[in-house]
Amino acid sequence: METIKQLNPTLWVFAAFLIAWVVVQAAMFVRLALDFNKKNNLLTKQEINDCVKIGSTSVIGPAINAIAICLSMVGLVGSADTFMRCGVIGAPMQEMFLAQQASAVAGVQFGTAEFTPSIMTFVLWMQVWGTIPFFIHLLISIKPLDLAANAGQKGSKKVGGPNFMQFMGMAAPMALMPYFMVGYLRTKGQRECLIVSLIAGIILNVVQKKTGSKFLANFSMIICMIIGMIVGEIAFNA
Amino acid sequence: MADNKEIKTGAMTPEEDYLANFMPSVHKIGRFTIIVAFFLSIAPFIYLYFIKGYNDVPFSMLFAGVAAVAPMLIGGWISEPLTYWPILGSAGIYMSYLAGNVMAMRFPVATAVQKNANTDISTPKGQVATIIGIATSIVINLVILFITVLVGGAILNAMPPKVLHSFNYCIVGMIGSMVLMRFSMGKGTLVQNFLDAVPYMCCGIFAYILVNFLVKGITMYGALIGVGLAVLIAYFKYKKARAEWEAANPDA
Repeated sequence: METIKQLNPTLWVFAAFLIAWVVVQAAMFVRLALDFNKKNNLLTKQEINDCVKIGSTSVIGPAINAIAICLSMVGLVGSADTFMRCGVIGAPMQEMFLAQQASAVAGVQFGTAEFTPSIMTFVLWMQVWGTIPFFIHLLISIKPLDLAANAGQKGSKKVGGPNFMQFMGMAAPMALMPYFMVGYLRTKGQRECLIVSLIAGIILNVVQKKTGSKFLANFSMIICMIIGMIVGEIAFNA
Repeated sequence: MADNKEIKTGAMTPEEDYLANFMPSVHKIGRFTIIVAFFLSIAPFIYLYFIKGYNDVPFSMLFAGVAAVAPMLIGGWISEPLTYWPILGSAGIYMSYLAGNVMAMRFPVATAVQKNANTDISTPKGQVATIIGIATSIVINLVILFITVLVGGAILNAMPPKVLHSFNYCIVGMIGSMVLMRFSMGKGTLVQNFLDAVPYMCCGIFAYILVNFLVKGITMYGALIGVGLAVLIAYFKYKKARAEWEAANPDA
């Protein structure tokens, strides 16, 4: 614990810079999107507000879910490292895994006298390797992917009509979601949660279309999630 | 919004403006911010190891540590961004891989905002909606995370164990409603959209069976295989639709 107390103030400085950069990046993209929207009149103010509402409410459940892991991490590597790593790239599970792997490779346990500043530095090194390869991947692949996806559209002599991105935008999520769902169907609790949230989704969809309710349009995912969580927990304990 | 129309200048359509100006700006911002983030994320290690001198751990152990985790993580390094890019878009993926929690937070948000705007990531409107939704989710998550590291213990103690355990199901519950959202998007009915999606869904199910039951050791690539197969089918569907459209619009 002495090591954590010793390094925490320093790490908070780095954490502040890194987290600030995450916010700066988000702000730059939002500004670009809003300028583009203003110029081309794509989304109404109401639709923008809806995006903000959905973005705000959809993360609350998963964020609370991560609290227990984050707190475990605070106990092991301190609040600054936890905030820095779980706020950047950080699926908390992965950061926890990397910290534990570092201590295992060093042959040192957290919280003991052997957990020196050098070992904590080694933990940081390992955690960085949860981040760096993704950054390199993005720098190499995303722009060429975009260019390739739009190449067909640009290269075509005929303007308008279907474009590949529309088809890909439909295909990818419809493959990804069943991939996860099959796994969920094999586990008690998750199975019931999934089935009930699907049924709730169908009912809410029908009601929303009949009533035109804006509330349901914005919050149906959260409602399904809460119903699914309740049923999943009941089934798990049954 | 009437005012906005007056501000619009030039002869470009939104789609042309999107390809000519918006997307290059997305990559400019995305690449610049990722490069800076690269150095910011490695800076604490460099400071502590080289400047403060906390370097009792030899270089050989640094490499041994990376070698120990790389085989477990390399599948994700390669496959994850490619898997989520067709859903989050370029701006969404730059933001999501800097802020993290792609599967649990950014993917559901992207799906929900696209459904709400009745569009997808392939359109300029879908890109704008996704950027706003994901950016909001990032800020809210950081606020919750900040509160967590400060007073999270008290929050956990206040919650009954069963309530706490039920949060394990929040992503499962979201996926259930996200599928419905996808079916209710577009021009067709729920059933028509479901039937259109069946070939893609089969790809995901096939990939799950493949990596879990038929071929061992490639579990990390399962999602990518499913998405890859679906994109391949989408490409053939696109070629067919494009040919039909061009035949019907010879003067376009």
